[in-house]
Amino acid sequence: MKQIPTKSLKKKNVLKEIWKNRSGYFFVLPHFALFAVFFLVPVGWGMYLSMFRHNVFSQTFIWFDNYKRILSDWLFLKTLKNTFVYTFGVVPLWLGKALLVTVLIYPFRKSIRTFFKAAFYLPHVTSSVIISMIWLWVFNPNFGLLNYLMTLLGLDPVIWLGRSLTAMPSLIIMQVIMGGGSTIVLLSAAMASIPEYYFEAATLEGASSWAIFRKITVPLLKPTILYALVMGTIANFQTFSNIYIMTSGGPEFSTTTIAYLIYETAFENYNLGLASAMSMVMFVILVVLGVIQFKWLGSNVEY
Amino acid sequence: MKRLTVILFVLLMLVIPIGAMAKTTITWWINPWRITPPGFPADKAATEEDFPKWAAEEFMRLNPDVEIKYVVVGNTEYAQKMAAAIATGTQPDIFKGPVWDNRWVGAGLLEPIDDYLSQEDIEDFYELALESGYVDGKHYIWPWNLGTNGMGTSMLLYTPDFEKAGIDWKKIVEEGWTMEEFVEIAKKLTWDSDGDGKTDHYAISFGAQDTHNLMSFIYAFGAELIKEDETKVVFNSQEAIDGLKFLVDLVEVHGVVPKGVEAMGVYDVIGNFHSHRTSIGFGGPYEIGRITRYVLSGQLAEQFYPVIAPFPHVEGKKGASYASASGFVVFKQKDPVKKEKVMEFAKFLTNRENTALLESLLYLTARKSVNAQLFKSDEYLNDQTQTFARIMDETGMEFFGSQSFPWSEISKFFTSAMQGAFGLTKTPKEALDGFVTEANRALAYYY
Repeated sequence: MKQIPTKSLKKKNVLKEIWKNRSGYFFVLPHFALFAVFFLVPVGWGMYLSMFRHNVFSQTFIWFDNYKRILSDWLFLKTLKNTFVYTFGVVPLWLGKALLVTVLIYPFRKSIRTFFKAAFYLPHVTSSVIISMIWLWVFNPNFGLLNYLMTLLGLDPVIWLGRSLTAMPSLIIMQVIMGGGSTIVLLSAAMASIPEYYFEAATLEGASSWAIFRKITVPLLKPTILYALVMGTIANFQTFSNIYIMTSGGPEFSTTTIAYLIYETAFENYNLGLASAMSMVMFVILVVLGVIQFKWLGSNVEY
Repeated sequence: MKRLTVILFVLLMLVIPIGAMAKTTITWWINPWRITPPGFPADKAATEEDFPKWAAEEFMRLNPDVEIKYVVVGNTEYAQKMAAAIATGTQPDIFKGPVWDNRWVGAGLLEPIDDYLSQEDIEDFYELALESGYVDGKHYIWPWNLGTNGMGTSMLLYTPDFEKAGIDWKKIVEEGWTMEEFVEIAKKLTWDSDGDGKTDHYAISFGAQDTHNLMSFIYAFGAELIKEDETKVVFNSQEAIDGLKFLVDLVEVHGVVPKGVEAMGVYDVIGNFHSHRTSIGFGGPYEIGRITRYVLSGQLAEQFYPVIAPFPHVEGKKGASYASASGFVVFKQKDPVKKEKVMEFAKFLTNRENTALLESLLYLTARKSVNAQLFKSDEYLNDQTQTFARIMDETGMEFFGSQSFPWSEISKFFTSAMQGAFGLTKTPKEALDGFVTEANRALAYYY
C-alpha cells in the first residue's frame, strides 16, 4: 500500500479547514488586509530601515550600527529614562484615581453615576492639543493660574515647566488630572457585573469597607485593571502631543520622551534609519512590559 | 484596408482634442501667508487660504491649459509632510515653506533656476535674497520676501512707556544704543504697576526657545556660531560667554526681564509685548502687521504703533541683526513642458505686481524696485520700513552659516544650553561648552 506523507496530509487538512471556515475568513479578511497594510508592513519596513543610514535622500546599509549608536547615546538613554518615569508616574496614579472614583460613585443612583462618568470622560474626547494649551497657561511662570494661587497663599511662584526638577512632575500631574475617563467607564461597567450578594455577604460578615475593597472589589476587577494597565502603559509610553506643545522636550531634555526624540530624528533631521531603530527599541520594550504585566496580573476570574 | 484607414482617422480625431484639452497639473505647497489679494474687502482680515486661492485662479485664468492645486501647509507640520512626500516621491512641484532644506539640492531634488532668471531679475533682486538659494554655483530659490519675520532682526519699542519713563526713543532709533545704555533704560522701564510692591511690568522678555533674538545679543558681543569653513561650532568663545552672561544678568542681576525664560517660547514673548507687560518687543515690520491682524481677528483688543529700533551694540563694535530671505523652490520635473509651466508659475508669483502684495503683511520684498514703492501713502509705515532697511543694511548678517550648514541638526542643543543658563543649572560657560561639544559630535555624524 502506498503511504501518504504526513506533511502533505497535514497541509491538506489545513486547507480543508480553511475552506470549511471560508465564510469566517472572508469576514476577517478586510480587517486583516488593513492591519497588514497599515501595521505589519510598516513595522517590517521599519525593521528594514533601521539597518540603514537612511535619510530621505540616500541610504547605506550599516547592519546594526544604528542600534549601537542609540544604545551608547546619552540623549537616547536619557529619553528612555524620562519615558519610564513619565509612564510609571502616570499609569499607577491614573489607575488609582480611576479605581477610587469608580468605587466612590458606585453607591450612588444611576443618574448621578452617569453624570460623574460623563464629567470624567469629557477630557478624553477633548483634543490633547487644546488641553495642553490650557495647561500651558495654568503653568505660565509669570501670569499663570497656578502661580497666581501660590501667590495668594503667600508662596513664591514656581517656574513649573522651566526647571528640570518640576517640569516632568508637572506633566505627570496634568496627565493624571485630565486622564482616566475611559478607565472609569470601563471599571464602572466591570463593577456593575460583580454580583451584589458578594458585597452583601461580606457586609453581613462584618467586613470593613477597606477589606471589601481589597478582598472583593480589586480581585474581581483584575481583568479590567490589567486591560487598563496594559493600554495605559502603551499609550503613555508613546506620549507626544503634550510634550511637543508644552515643553518641546525641555528644559535640558528633561521631558524629552522616546516618541518625541523619534519625531525630531525622523521629521526634523530626516534621519529615518536612526528613528526606525529607536522605534524598534520602543516596540521591544512595550512588548516586554506587556508580557510582564500579563504574567503578573493575568488570572481567570469567575463570578 | 480603406475601412481600417477611416477607423484610424476617426479615432485620431477623437484622441487629438482630448490630448489638446489635457491640462498640466501643478501642485503648490505654501505655508500660511495671510496676504490680502487684490479686490479683498478692506475691513476683513485675510486668511491663509485667500492668497494662494487668488494666485492659483489668476494664473489658471491666464493659462487655461494649467491647473494649479494648492495646499496650505502649516509652519510646524511642513517638515514631516515634506519628509514623507520626498520619501514616497510625492513632493509638490513648487514649494514655499518657512525654510527650505539645502540637502534637497544635494539629493538632486530641485531644479536650478539660473536659465530662467533674466538679467533684469538678477539686478532687481537683493543679493542677500539670491544668495539665500545659492548652492554649489547655482541658484535654486525664486526670491520673494526679505527677512522681516525674524525675531532677531530688530526691536520694537512701545513709545508711550518710553515717554512715561522720560526716555528719548527717537535717539535710540536714529543713533542706536550701547549695552550699558540699554541696561539703564531697561531699569527705567521696569516697574510695579499696581503698587503691591512687586514688579509686574518689565522692559523686555526672552524665551529660551526663541533663538534668534538671543543670538542677536550674543553676536553683538563678537561671537560667531561656526568657523569660517563651517566644519566646527565655536560658540563657546569668550565673546559668546560674555554675551550669554549679559543676558542672564538682565534677569538675575538687573531684574529687567521676567524670570522663567527657560520655560518660554516666541509666542510668550510676543504676548508679553502685545499686552504691554513689556515695553520692548522683537521683529521687523511684519510684527507690526501682526498687531493689526490680531486686532482684526479679535485676538488683541487695541491697536498700537511701536517703532522699529536696532538691537543694542557693544561700545566700539557693530550690532548684529539676523538677515534672511526666502522664496519658492521648484522640484525636479521629468516632463520638459511641465517644467516650463512650473517655472512660469514661479515667475508669476515673484513678478513685481505679485511680490508687491507682501505689502499687506508689512513685509519687505526681495525686489528693490518694489520696495522703493512700498508704503508711500503711510508715513508711519514708511518710516518703519526705512529704519528697518537701514538696520538690515548696517548690521544684517546670517547667523547660521551657509545653506549647507545643518543648523537644524544642532539647534536643540542650543535651546538646551539656553535653558541651562537661564535656569541657573549651568553657568554660561558650562552651557555653551556643553552645546559646542554636542553640536560638534552631531556635525561629525552628519558629515
